[in-house]
Amino acid sequence: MRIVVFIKQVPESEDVKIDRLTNTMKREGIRMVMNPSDSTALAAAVQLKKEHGGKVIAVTMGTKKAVEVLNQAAICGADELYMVSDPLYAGSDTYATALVLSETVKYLGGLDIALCGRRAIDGETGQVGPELSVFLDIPCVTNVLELQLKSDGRVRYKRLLEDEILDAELSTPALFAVCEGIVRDYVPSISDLRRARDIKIINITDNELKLGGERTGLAGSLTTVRRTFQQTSPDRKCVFVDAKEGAKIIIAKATEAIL
Amino acid sequence: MFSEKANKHADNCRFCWMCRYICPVGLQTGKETNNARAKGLLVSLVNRGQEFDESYAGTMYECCLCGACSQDCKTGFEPPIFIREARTEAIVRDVLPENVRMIADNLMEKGNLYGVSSAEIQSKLEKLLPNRPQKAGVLLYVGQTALIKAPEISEALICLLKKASVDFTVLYSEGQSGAEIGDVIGYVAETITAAKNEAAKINTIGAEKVVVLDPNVARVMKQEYPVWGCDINAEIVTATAFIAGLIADGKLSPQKIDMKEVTFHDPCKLSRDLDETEPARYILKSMGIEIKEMFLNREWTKCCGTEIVKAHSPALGALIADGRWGDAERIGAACMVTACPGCFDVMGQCVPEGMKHYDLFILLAEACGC
Amino acid sequence: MINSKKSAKIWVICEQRGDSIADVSLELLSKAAALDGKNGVAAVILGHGASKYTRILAAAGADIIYVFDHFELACKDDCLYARLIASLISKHNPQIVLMGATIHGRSVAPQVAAIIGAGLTADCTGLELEGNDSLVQTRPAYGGSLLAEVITKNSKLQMATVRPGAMPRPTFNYSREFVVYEEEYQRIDNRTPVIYGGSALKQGASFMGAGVIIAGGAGMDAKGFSFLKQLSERLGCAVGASRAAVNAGLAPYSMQIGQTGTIVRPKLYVAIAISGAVQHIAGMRASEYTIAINKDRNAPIFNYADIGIVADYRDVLAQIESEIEHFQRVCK
Repeated sequence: MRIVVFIKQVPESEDVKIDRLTNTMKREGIRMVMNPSDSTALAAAVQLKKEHGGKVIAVTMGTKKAVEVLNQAAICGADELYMVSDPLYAGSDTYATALVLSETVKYLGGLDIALCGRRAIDGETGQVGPELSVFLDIPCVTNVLELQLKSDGRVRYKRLLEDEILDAELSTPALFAVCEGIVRDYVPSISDLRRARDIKIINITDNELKLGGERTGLAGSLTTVRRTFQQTSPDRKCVFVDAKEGAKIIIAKATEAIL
Repeated sequence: MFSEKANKHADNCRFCWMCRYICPVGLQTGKETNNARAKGLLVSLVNRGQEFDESYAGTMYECCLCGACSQDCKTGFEPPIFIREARTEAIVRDVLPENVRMIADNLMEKGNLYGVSSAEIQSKLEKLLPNRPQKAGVLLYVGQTALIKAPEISEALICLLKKASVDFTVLYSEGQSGAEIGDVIGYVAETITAAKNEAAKINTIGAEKVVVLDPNVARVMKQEYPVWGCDINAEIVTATAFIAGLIADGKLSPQKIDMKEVTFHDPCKLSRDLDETEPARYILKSMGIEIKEMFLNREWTKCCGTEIVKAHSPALGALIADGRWGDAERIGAACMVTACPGCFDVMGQCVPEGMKHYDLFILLAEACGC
Repeated sequence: MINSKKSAKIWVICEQRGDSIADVSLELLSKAAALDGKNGVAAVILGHGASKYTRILAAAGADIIYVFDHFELACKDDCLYARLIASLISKHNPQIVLMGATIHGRSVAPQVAAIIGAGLTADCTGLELEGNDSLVQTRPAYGGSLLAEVITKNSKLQMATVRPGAMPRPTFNYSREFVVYEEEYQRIDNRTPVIYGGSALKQGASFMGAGVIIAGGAGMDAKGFSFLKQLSERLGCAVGASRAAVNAGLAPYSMQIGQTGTIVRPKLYVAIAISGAVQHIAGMRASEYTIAINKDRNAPIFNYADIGIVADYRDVLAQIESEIEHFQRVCK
C-alpha cells in the first residue's frame, strides 16, 4: 500500500511579525515548522502503515530549507522522502502547486491513499488538497478527524462539519485532508532515530516533472496578490474592570447579543 | 540531528567560556574538553559537517549534568540541553565508548545502571519492608541507587517513618523512574515509556503523597513527568522536606548529637533544580549540629560526580569527588554530611584520611533511637 | 417588467443546510446583486428537494436559478456536486462564481476551479468590482494580521469562497422576477462515499451562527469547563476552548478556536484564562465585542479585548453565578 503524505514547511505563527512599512512578513528570526495539520496527517499515515503494512512516502514542495520537515517525517516513520524544488516553481499559487504535486505523484508511480493537512497556517486556503484530488482523478474528503482502513480495503472516516461529525466510508484511491486534532510532538525512540539517518532525501526538479515554466510558478498561477495592507479597524482599547463589574457586563452583553 | 533549541544553546555557548570556573569536572581535570563551552563547540562542529566520533561521544559523558554551568550563565543558556541530545546522537550513531555502552545496555535491558535483575530489586524491597501494605497514604519511592548502592539509607528512612507513625508503603517492585536512563540516552521514547510505566505503577497505590528519597528522581518526577505526559496523581515530596516536616510537627524528636566541624554538601539536583536548601539544614539543627558552609554551597553546590559517572568512569568519578572533599578540607571541616544516595556512594569511595562521612538520614535515625 | 435572462454574469453556488438555505448563500446573492445585478445573478442549488428554495433564492438576488433536484444528491457529496457544477459552468460561462467558505464550500470550490482551470481565492472578507469586470478579492493573511488583495489572472472565470458573515445581511425582494432551469442529473460513477450517519455536535458545541461564544483556556480545570457548559445551556451560548485546553484533554478538538481550530465571528466573545497566543487571536479577532479574563495583566489577549478583567477566573465565574441568581430572583 502506497500512502503519500504532502507536507509543508511554514513559519511558526507566534514568530510572525509584520513589517509596518512594507506590509509584508518579516523573515528574519522566524522558526520554520512542519504545518500542524500535516503533522497529524503524517501520524495518521504512519499509523495506517503500522496496522496494515505498506510505505509512507513524504513529499514536500518548497525551498531547500524545507528538507527539515522531511527529516522530521523520517523520524516520525516515513519510508521515502522527496524534496520537490525548482526555481521555476517559485511563486506558485494553489492551482500551480496542486499541478506540480500531481505530476510528482505520477512520476513516483501513483498512490493508494493521499493524506495532507486540511490547511496550512500561512496560506490558510485549504485548496491544494481538493485541487490535487481533481488532477489525480480521485475523490477527496476534507476536515477528516480520523480514518481507518477496513478489511475490505475501504477507508472508514469521521468528518468534522459545522454542526455534526459525519461517519462515512469510501474506496481507495482517495485523498483525505486531515484536521489538526490534538497535535502531539512525536518523541522518537533510538531505533526511530537510527532508521531515519539511513533514509536519503531524493530531489525532484522540473528535469523530472517536465512541466515547464508556463504552467508553474508565477506564470502558471491563476491568482495573484496585488497588495497587502493592515486592517483599518483600530486596535481595541481595553477597559479594565473588577470581577463583579465584569460579571455584570458579561451577562448584560450576552443577553443583548442573543436577543 | 539536534533540535533547534539545542542548536541555539550550543551556538551561543561555543565561544563564550565564562562558566569554566564552575564546572566540577574541568576544575579537577584541567582539560579543555571538560566544560560546557567545549561541548557546545563540538555540537556546532557536528552540525557543520564534522564527524561525531567516539572521542566526541566520550567528552559528552565526562559531565555530571549538574547544571552549575546553567546556574552561572548570565544569559540564560543551558548546556545540559545539548549535552543530553549529544548523548542521544552518540547512541544513534553507535559511537559510544565501551565503558559507557555497558551502562547504557544495563539501563536499556535491565532497567538500572548496575545490571541488577528485577527479581533482586523486588527482594530488596521486600527485605526493606516485609509484608508491605497494598495501599497507604504515603508511598516511599526509594530509587535504584539507594536500593542497590546505599541500602542503609533506605533502612534508616524507613525506620524514621515508622517512628513517626506514618502510614506508608513501598512499591512491590521499582522499575525505572527515567532519571538515570534519561541522563544516559536522553529524553527519547524509551525513557518516556519507562517513566510512564513507573507513573502508572505509582498511581495504583493511590497514595496522597509520594516521598522520594533520591533528589535526582524527585527532580525528574516533578519537572519532566508533566512534560512527558506522565501524571502522578499525588503530591511529590522530597524525603528531606518530608522528614523536616515531621520534626517540625513534633512527630520525630531527635536527640542532640555532639559533632564538631561539620559541613553539609548540598545535592546538586536538590538545591539547584528543586530550589530546596533549608530542610536538610533544619534537620541538622534539630540534632544540635552546627555546620560550617563550604565554598560553593546551596544553589552553587559543587557536584560530587554522580552515580552515573562513577558507574562508567570510576577513576574520573573519584577525581571529581576529591574536588568536593577538597572544599571541605579547605574550611577545616572534620566531617561531611550528604543527603543523597548518589552522593553517599560517590563521596564515600574516597573519604580523605582523618575525615568522616555521614548520611543525613542515617544520622537522624540514630538521633531518633532507631 | 419581464426579465427573462438567459445568462448571468455572477453565479452563486448555494448550499442547503438542514431544511433551509445557508445564510452565507443568501448573503452572497444579495452581494452579487449589489455588485452588478443588471448583468444577471444566477443561483445554483443542488440536493434532494432543492426546487423548493427557488423563491427565497430569487428574493435574495437571483434572476436565474439552476436546480439539480434528485434523491441521489441528498448526500451533499462535495466531489459529485463539484463535477455537476463544473459542467454547468462550462455550458454557460459566467464571469464570476462565488460560494460560501463553509467546510462544504471550501471543498467544492477548489475542485470546480481545478476542473475548469479557474483562479480561486479562499475565505474572502471583501469583494469589489473594478472596472466592471475585475473582481478584487480581499482576504486575511497571517492569521488576520494583514489583509491581502487578490485578483485573478490568466483565467476567464474568477472564483472566490467568501467567509460567512463577512458580507452584509441579505435583503429580500419577493417581487423579483426569476427563471428556473431544472438541470438533468445522471449518475457519474460509484465513487460517492457511503454515509453511516452523523452525530450532531452537542448544544453549545457548534459555533455556526453563534451570537455568543465563551471560551476556556488551559488555565481552567475540568470543573471550570463543566460550569461553562451549564452556563451555555442557561444563556444559550456556545462553548469553545483554546488549543492548550484541547491538548490538555479538557475539551474535544471540535471545540477548538484558533488558527488550527475554527475561526469564529460572534457578536460577543468571552475569553477565560486564555493567554492570547497569535494562533488563538487569529481565531477570534473578528468578534464584534470581546471580554477577556486572565490573572496576568500583561496577557496579550487584553490587546484584543474591549473589556478586561484581571482576576482568577474562578472569582469571575462565581460572580457570574450570583449575578444570574440575582437576575432570576428579580425576574420572579
